[in-house]
Amino acid sequence: MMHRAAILTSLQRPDPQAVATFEAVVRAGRFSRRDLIRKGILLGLSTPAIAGILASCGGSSPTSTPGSGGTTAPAAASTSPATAAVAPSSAAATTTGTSGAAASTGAKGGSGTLVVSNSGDLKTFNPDFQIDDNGYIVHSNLYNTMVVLDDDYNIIPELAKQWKVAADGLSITFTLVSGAKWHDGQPVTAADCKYTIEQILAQKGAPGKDNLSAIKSVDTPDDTTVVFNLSAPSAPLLGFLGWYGTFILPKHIYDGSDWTKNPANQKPIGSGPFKFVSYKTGDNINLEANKDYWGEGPYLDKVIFRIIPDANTATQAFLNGEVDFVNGPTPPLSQVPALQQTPGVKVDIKTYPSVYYLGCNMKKEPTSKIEVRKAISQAIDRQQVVAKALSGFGSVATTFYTDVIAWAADKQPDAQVPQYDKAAAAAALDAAGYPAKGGSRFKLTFPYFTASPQYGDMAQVVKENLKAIDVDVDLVALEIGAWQDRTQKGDYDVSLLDGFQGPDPANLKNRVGTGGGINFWFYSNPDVDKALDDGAKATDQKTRQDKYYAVQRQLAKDLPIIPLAGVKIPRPYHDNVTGLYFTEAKGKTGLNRFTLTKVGKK
Amino acid sequence: MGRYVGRQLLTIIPTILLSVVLNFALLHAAPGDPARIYAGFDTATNDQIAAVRHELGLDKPLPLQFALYVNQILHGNLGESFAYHRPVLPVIFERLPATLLLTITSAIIAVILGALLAAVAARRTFSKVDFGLSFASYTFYAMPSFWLGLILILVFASKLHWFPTSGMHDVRAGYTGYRNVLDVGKHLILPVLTLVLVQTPIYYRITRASVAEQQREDYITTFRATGMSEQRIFRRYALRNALLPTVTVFGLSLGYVITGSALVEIVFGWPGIGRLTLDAVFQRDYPLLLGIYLILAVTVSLAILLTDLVYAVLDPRIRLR
Repeated sequence: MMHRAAILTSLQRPDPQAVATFEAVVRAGRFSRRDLIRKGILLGLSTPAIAGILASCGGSSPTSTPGSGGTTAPAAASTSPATAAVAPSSAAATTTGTSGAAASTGAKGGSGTLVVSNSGDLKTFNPDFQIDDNGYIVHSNLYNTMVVLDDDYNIIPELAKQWKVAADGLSITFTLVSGAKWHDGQPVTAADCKYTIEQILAQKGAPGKDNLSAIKSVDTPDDTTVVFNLSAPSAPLLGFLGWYGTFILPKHIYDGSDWTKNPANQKPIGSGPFKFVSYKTGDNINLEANKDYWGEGPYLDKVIFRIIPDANTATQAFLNGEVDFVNGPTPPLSQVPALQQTPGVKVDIKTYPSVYYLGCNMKKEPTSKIEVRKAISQAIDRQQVVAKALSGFGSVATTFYTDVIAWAADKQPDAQVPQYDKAAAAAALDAAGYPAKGGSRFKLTFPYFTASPQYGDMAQVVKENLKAIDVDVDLVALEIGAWQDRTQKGDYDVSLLDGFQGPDPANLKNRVGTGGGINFWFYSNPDVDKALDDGAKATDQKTRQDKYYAVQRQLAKDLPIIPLAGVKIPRPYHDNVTGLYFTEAKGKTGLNRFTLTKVGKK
Repeated sequence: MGRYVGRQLLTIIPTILLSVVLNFALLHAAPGDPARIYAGFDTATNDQIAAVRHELGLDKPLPLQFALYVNQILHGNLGESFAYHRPVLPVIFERLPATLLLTITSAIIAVILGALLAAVAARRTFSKVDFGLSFASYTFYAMPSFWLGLILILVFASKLHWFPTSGMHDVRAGYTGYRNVLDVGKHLILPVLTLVLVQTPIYYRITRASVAEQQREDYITTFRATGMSEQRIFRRYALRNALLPTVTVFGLSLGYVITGSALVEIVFGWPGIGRLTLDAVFQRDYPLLLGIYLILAVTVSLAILLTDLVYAVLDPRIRLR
């Protein structure tokens, strides 16, 4: 549940005819992409003007270089969502991105069936009106978004092959791919995009609504052009547009109906690489190749999602060849080394933009005292946390924001988390008036929820670490709903959380902003709130970086949350599966898409 | 007999009504907020949560929610599932066959096997066979079903490759017709074996104790004095009387066939109602849970009634009026 965007997928492998050309393109793409990403980020950080340029282009064509304004446009293909901010800049006004996936060559289907394990039931096939973690990967293959995040959270084109940001940053003009069709044969047009965006903005409960709130209106000058008019320049907008709850829906099916009740929610009509075949709750979801897909692929004949709730069972089903790729449930981390050694099995270890952290109750003694929070931070041996609770699949956290979104992560000394120093921790508590009388300074109540086994293990390590400085901990394991109720009431001292920190640091507002939805710690600092607001509104990356650095520096001073470890997620797949969105197709397809995936002979 | 059944059926109605009230009250008293869950854990803003609460109808006063729910049930409508956005009844009924196939198959095998083994053991009390069976029964009785299921998967699916790991179908093959039946059968074996292994000891223990007790009864001694063969005494009288408690337990267990195998369904990825129930609990899917509990109340009541009827057939002293 915490790893929404961590969902995964499949692969591709040479296929006689079209593949020679395709591979050449991929190769070229990867080459320039890697290089240019780095270059682009460096440039973006050093000169605001270039940030603006990056912001405005999102194309990924490795071969064509629009190059207006004398810049390296392809670099933008691989910039992080935030880098691709909508920024006013004279260069931006004339720079456009173009899509590398324009040529739709290659056979459709023919490469077999991919079986993917998924940990729970999909809720509905309407991907936009409700958060649906288990449905995300299915929706991603049935529908398209206009732009999409790839596995590294870069923005790449999907239905929109190129886009252009106005000089003042107040409008974005998208050009849609031609020839896209809904699964019922109707053409995909700008009207569908307009309908979907307006619908999302009109629904209070839609998960995409807040993320897209900068959009004031949508114009459609012709069938392949969509113009977003913005109320103010918005840096995170494109990243959010490619993330969650923004799949383009068919207007001709949904218009005029209640989109929570439309029959298409059970029998979806999308524009994605796969078409719906059947869904048996608790059992499987069956998709087949969309032979009329507008872009390259799909190569698979079928994708079948098998719903397997138990992590051990899913791992065994994978080892026994019943499952080709484990999307969920995440295998028990202790079993990952064995998986890595199994012949024919590959395990991608994804550094996930998330950090495990302890949250401290800011309203209740003793954790309301900064000396105590600092001592707790120093009492915890993070190496041990990674080794024992995560079986080594994690990283020691030294700062507050995920490394994955590098430009926003402050690594400077004044943003560092106090690290392991048992003696200093004990001395600080002595000085703060908590002597170790009778072997116990005080007792902390530590409820945690049981969504993943790592939480229990991590809580146990923390308990042992704190015991070593004579602080007692009462662990309370709770189901997540009960945990929420309890923490919201403030009936705890410390607790544990992690969660997706992307696609843009603007999301930190929910985590540490005053009254934020997952700010369970009652943390409220006006300086932090102001910096968060300024950061979301600012348009050039340097300013944004300054604001988010300020947030992280303040967090290091206040320590309402104590980072423990960076999250890594194992993604096992069999080696006959190629072209997964995190292997060969990375950067070519969006997160969770099996568009370029192939299954070879085992 | 007919009047008895009619009267019992009438008493079921208040029982079920009471269970509706209790279930509703308990669900709403339990911690956890559906609006938060459906708005999304780590991204929802307070506005979104409020909007979802309104959509789900949870912003109305509780008594009004209850009145609306009762009104719905009286019109034969169990409402719409929060999670699946579909009417509750079809969501439940499409999962029913998988569960019944699993639980009824294993319940019948377990009761027959348990009773037979008990009969064997009871006739040779304190023999090696008796001792061995008792030991085995304690061992399996103490095993958690999800653990045993996982062990069976490791041995018979992963090591020996005799049976599939999980699920109900070979989704890759997509069989139809009789091959589909064989395929389901193959997938059924390990979960049924798990349930049989943990359930048989219950029937075994009860039947064995009761057979041993019957054999010490005066009427058995009397039969022996008349020179009746041991075989005949055992089969005709001792066993038949001894089976009464077994029937009771079996009948009551039928009440739980719908949700009782949740853990085994999870381990084997079996698409049954037990899993549906647990999912609904975790997602606070109130309408779906209330629907499942309602059906549960009906089946438990009917199972008890059925047990009474079978009792009357087995024990001629009982006359139902």
